[in-house]
Amino acid sequence: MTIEHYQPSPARPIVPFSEVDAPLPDAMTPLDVIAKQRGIGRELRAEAKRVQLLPLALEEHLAQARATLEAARGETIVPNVSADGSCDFRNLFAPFTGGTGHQVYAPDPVQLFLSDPANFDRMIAAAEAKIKERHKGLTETLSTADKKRRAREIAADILAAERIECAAIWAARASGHEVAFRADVDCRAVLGIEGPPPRKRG
Amino acid sequence: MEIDDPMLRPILVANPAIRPKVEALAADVDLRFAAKETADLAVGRARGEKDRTLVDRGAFLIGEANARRQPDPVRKAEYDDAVKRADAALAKSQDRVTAAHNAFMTAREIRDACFAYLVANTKRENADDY
Repeated sequence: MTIEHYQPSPARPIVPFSEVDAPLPDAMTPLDVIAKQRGIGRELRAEAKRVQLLPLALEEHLAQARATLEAARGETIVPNVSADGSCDFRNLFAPFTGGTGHQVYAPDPVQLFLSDPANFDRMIAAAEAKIKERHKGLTETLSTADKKRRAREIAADILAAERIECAAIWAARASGHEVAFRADVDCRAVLGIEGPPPRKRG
Repeated sequence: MEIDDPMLRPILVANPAIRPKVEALAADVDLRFAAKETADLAVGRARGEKDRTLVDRGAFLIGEANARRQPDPVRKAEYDDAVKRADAALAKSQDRVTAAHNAFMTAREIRDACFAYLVANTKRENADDY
């Protein structure tokens, strides 16, 4: 059976994809548009990477450090000590899994140290001082929420650039040029449709 | 997934505007597969040609040695030149075959990703009935 012979199910019709029109600039040839859009895409992907690697905002960094230390104080970390007295440090953070020898559970020195409130406060103060020192001179920082927002904005810009690039590729192919799509291009841009982001290809 | 896959067929019927693009993607893969096969054949021929020139040159040198004389410098230079040319032709066709393989892999990857996207994101009305 070919597509021409296919009869769609009337009881369960398919909702068509919304099409997205990506108009090409009048003054440029499709090949020029492709080159230009690929350049824009490269810059946008570099910007996305830069934003991803920006340091966290100071307040959030401090809060994260405090939360990490709080969590370490609350954990019951015990080393896995075998019968002959040797300690298996590979099992330090998973003392209840594996291991065939006789196990003796002893309190973790880090946990003991942090369980003293005075020690804990000193540790927090030291960590905060270190973080503030590192943040001195930083010109640009972003909170996690801002990073996510910027990443979403850049992803939308990348998709818009790819839509124009793909429209130009289709136009170039229609006029007889042999132009290939980039391997990592978004399916929505190739097909000219709207929809949820595709899963990452790997 | 091929273009006449039963999962893809109803989607293309419901989306007539994207059908030409989907068909073009599938045709592109076929075209690039053919180009890859042609390049594979060409590289095989170039390899055979190089082997043949090497054998010819070896036979000439052995013949000259059996005749207990130094190889004729003019003929030896011709054989050396033929081997060099065959070597260059092989390298060129190997470059072409690599490019053709990459183009085919990319086209296939894009076609499969687009087909999978369409199948994964197609919605139906009255979906609750099923």
